[in-house]
Amino acid sequence: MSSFLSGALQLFVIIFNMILVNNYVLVKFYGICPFLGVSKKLDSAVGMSWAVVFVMVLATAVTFPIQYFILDQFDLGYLQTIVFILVIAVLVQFIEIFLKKYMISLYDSLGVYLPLITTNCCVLAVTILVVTDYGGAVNIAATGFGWAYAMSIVCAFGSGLGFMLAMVMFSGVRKRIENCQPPKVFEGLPITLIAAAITSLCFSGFGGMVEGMMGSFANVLNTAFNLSIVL
Amino acid sequence: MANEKASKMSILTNGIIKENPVLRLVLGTCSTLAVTTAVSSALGMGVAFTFVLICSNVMIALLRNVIPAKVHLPCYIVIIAGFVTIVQLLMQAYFQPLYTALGVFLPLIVVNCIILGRAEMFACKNTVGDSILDGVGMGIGYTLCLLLMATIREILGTGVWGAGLVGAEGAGIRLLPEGITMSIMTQPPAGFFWFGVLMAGCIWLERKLNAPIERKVGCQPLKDIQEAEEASEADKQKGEDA
Amino acid sequence: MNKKTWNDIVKPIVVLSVISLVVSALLAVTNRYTAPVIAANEKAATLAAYLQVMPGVADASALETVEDYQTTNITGAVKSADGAYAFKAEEKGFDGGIVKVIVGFDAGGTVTGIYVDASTQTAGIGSHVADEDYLDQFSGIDGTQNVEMNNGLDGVTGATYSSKALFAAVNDCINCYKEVALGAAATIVEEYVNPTKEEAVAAMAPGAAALETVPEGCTEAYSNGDITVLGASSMGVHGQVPVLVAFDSTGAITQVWVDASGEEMGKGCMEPAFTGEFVGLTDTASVDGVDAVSGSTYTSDAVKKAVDACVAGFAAM
Repeated sequence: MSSFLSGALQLFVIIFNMILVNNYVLVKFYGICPFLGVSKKLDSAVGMSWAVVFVMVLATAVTFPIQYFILDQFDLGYLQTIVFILVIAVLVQFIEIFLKKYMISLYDSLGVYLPLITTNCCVLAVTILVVTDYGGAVNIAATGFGWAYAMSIVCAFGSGLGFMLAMVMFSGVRKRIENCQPPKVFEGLPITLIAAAITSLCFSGFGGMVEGMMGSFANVLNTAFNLSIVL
Repeated sequence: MANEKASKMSILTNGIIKENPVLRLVLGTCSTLAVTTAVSSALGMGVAFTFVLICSNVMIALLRNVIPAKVHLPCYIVIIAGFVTIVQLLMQAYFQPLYTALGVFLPLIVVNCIILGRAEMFACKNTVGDSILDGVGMGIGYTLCLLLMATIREILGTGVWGAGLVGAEGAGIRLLPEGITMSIMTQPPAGFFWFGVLMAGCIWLERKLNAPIERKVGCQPLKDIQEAEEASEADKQKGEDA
Repeated sequence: MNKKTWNDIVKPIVVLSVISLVVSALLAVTNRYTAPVIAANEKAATLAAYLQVMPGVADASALETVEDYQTTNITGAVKSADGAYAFKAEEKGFDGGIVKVIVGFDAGGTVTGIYVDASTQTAGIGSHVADEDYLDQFSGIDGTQNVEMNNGLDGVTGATYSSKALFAAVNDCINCYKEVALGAAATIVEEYVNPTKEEAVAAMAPGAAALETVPEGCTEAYSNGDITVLGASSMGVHGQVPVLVAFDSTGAITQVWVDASGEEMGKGCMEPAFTGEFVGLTDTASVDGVDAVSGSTYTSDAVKKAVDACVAGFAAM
């Protein structure tokens, strides 16, 4: 029971962490291109975000085992960048073809965003970062490959959700800016960037929430139900 | 002869002023916001970027008649990724502190829109010599922008300029006393803020010189998306009017 | 093949493959030259960290690696000619990240320096356990006594898991110092190995045979004439917890065996410190009065219930 709860809470913490504390757009600066370019309308923002979540999860699901079973086993760590970006590019191509053939409605809503995602920081960043955080021989020896794999996928999913949160929030902000009248030199991209600065400022407040809040929550559960949840 | 020389020069200055990748083409925004917390990281990133850009431009220009259009994207990606990895390895071996400071943004040079964009727009259609000039120009333009933002953020945020580069024991030149620094300048919000202010400054300059341009966030796939958006907007309008 | 196939299908694949191979070869060459440099850098960084915590040592050549230590979680140890030591310990902090700690001791056992690598902890929160100002509190403390958080030394507010890992690692270093420099017994964290049920019965009542009639409430019974062993089980947190209770002819408990391997937190109930508490008891009231293992209330209660069933079963025999 305790280990199950430990695990569940750990996964919850990871999602929480990625959405708020380590938000990929507003805190870490990955995926700024689509963030600034596609957030004007809510529909495109949501569509883009779902495409990003989809590609992030699939890319992590494919690259994490590749790193562990191929690159690490044969000491080919230096090929990581090349292999990952190629895998992502090929994966997106396959997704496009697959959607076009079998899920046309999905292709209509997501397909146009896929080329942008291929060469976008956020997907490559998440694949590299989950390997750093949850991969590596020492970590996997301690937690077991299955669990590390699960955590990496949850992390990728959380990052995508964080991207979505930032996009959706920001499209609302941009709608408000449309009716404003900033100084002439700030019209267009500059005022959007300033608005992004303020949005990012809000997210800075979430730092420490995870260790502090979740840690206390785990302690409360431990004392109340005689468990031994370890985060 | 003079014309040719002039046009060579213009290729070089194109990347610095007219088509400055960061402020005019709005490409490579991720790294601009992330590595400009210190001048040393900004300079390191700029140099690494320029190296990769020049090398990939050269190689793509050399192979421009060999690479078939069908697989041009994967080929470019492999070439760029190869040079990025070389830079990664060299930096990890000989410039460890810079390598740690840049973190994941070093491998992310691979997906920097500027490099792929220049490959598609310039290197595949021009000679090796011109491509080198273009690479140098774009690299200088990118580095200058990064240095400008990093200077502002580092001085306002820590009071020192060039920590890790100049000064006694790499302490940098202190320009502001410690009490009046705003540490938020080295945090994410300030990145967005100063980028916006610099861009506004750029627009102001353009208006003064009477050469305003319409700015859209830059890479080609993004432009496709925005065109698709506008097309559907136009359709909706037509539908409403009818 | 005709020109069209060549152009459309084969040429793209060939070009892509050739480029990939050339690039990979280039990378392999670069890697061959840089990998040794990178490895040497890492070694130098660790040595530099050792030197940082041993102010009396001039340079790395004066350090001698120490090999024979057994304290768990220690990943490196060096000593210098004048009796100064440095130990590197690794403990799991927040979210699975490892906190690496190097502690330096002088010949007298005083802590001369401490270096912490908390880069895997949350930036701005757990990472504060690596701050110099915070770590100053460890300089000069007596390295022969274990440390305890909030008992003269502070943790970092809001960074419970990282602070716990730090203190655990510092204690590991202190324990290793005691083992290597002072000759104390190594603090090895070993798991208690519980005997199997058959081994337990054989140990409690040598030569016992299973009895035909099992008392009500019990699951099994053995006897060798002197000692009677009864078994029962009760519901713990994760499932049934079987116990075996050995009684002498007067009905006093001589030994208790518990199988709490299925209990996540209740494993402490298997250890002699708890099972020994039942020895000499004769009735259910005193069995219920035994203190539960701290942090394993449910499992302890299950054990007590099962022992009660055995006591009642013996009384009915």
